[in-house]
Amino acid sequence: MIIELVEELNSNRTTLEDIPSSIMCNILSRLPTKACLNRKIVCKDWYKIITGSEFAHFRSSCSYFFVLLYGKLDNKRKDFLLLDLDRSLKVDEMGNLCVSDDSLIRFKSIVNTPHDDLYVVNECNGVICLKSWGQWSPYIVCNLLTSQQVIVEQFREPSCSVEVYGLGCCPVSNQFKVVRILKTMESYRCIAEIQTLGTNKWRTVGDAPTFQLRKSGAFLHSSLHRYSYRDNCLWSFHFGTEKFSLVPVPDDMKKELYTEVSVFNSCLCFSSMSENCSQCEIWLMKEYGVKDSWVKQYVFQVDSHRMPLLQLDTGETLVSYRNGVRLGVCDGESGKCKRVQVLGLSSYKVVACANKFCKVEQFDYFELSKNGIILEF
Amino acid sequence: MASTSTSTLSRKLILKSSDGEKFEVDENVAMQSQTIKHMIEDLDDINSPIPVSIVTGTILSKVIEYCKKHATEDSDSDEQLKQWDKEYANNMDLNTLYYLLLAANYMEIKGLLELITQCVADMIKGKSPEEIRAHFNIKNDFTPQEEANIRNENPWAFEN
Repeated sequence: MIIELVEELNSNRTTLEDIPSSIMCNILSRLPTKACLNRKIVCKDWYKIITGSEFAHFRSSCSYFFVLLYGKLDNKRKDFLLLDLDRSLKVDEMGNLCVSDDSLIRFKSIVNTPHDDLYVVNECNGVICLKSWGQWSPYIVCNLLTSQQVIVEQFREPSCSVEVYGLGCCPVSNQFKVVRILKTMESYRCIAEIQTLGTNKWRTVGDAPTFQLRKSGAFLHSSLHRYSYRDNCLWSFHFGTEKFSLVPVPDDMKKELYTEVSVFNSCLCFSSMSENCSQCEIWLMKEYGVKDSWVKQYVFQVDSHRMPLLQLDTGETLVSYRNGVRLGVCDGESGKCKRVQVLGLSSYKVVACANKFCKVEQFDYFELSKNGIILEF
Repeated sequence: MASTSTSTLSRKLILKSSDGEKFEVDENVAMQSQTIKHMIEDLDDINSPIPVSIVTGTILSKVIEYCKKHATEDSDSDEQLKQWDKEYANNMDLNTLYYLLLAANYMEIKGLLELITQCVADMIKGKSPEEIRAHFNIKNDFTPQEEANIRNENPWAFEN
């Protein structure tokens, strides 16, 4: 086949259309998010490549990341904004991130619920889970890039409170699921329930550990991870086996109130602020599930917690802080951090950071919601 | 499988292009191609020419130029090497780039494939879909209705 191709090329009819689609897939996956979606219109072949599953795979292994923000661009109303970044990102002398106009995407949304009420629960495989503050409010699972979304209703349970929750994806069936932990008022027992998207039914999966604080959760290796301050440990919930387990932690892990779990450099990561508020330690589990693979990657000399987002080619780390309303870059060697800004972005809150496009077919069996909150992008 | 010997650096190999042109190269230059590396392992007689069947002499000489540069571990810093790569890719016309893509893909030279795919991606990045069609000679095979439907999938991606 290749020989024929070359003969064809030799006959002076060379065009990009003659390049095998696996190479084209490699080429197109190197474009920023907006450009990728925009180039679908070039021809049918390109459309097929960009919307195919191989493409999603290529994307997840390239150097692109996006940071999802909720904020104001040029003093327009607040909206979700997607900041497209790659590791070669630079910061100019004025402390501005050097990004092209194409890198900042504003989603035009029409939302029935006041936008300010919504917050991001977590991100999983490029799909995010949104919720408003009321404990029994529904979960909104959406893919911002394709505008597909699903509403997961809670159905109030008497004499229970909703403690923690999160979105995940089963590694076998590729089905998205939402897990929630209910606490019964009488016995203070914690029970985990799960709903597979599209079924509209909550199933009990058993007893659950207690979490006192509503910390952020991180999805990695088919599991959602959270830090428990009371027990000073990391819990994980696996979306395939639907079981809780403890993630081994380093022996000298200190019990710190300001400890957050995240995914950084494709590794499970926790970042914790020292008690005297003088430094923030960033720990990475280089090999998932292996206790000895934990390394203290960085110690940043800062007075408030830093959440690492993205490792840059310069060796620096892009971080968010003050609960996500500031972005900064920290130098791992000197431990020094400085604030960075994005031109035109007046106020924002970082809600998620991911490097994947969700494969479109994973959403195919969703019944898209016609009622309730409609996000239109 | 051939045992690895310490004297590999000094060995010479002969690569033969699809149009019969022969190139003598150091083994460590040729070994950057995974395809050739595997071929050598199966080869009894190292002195016989190794056929690189789909690559013409003109293209093969350019591939070898790249491999030679990347085989030497001397003086050049990463920065200098990057600059060299950039100039190397920028000096190619579109036709040559296509052939290099196919050659790098067939010969499995990871670095070269990355360099050229990134180079073509950069060309695509700065152009509108219309400009892309014109530049790369691609026919728009969508009907106006189909095109409108795609634009509606995520309209924001089509705004300036």
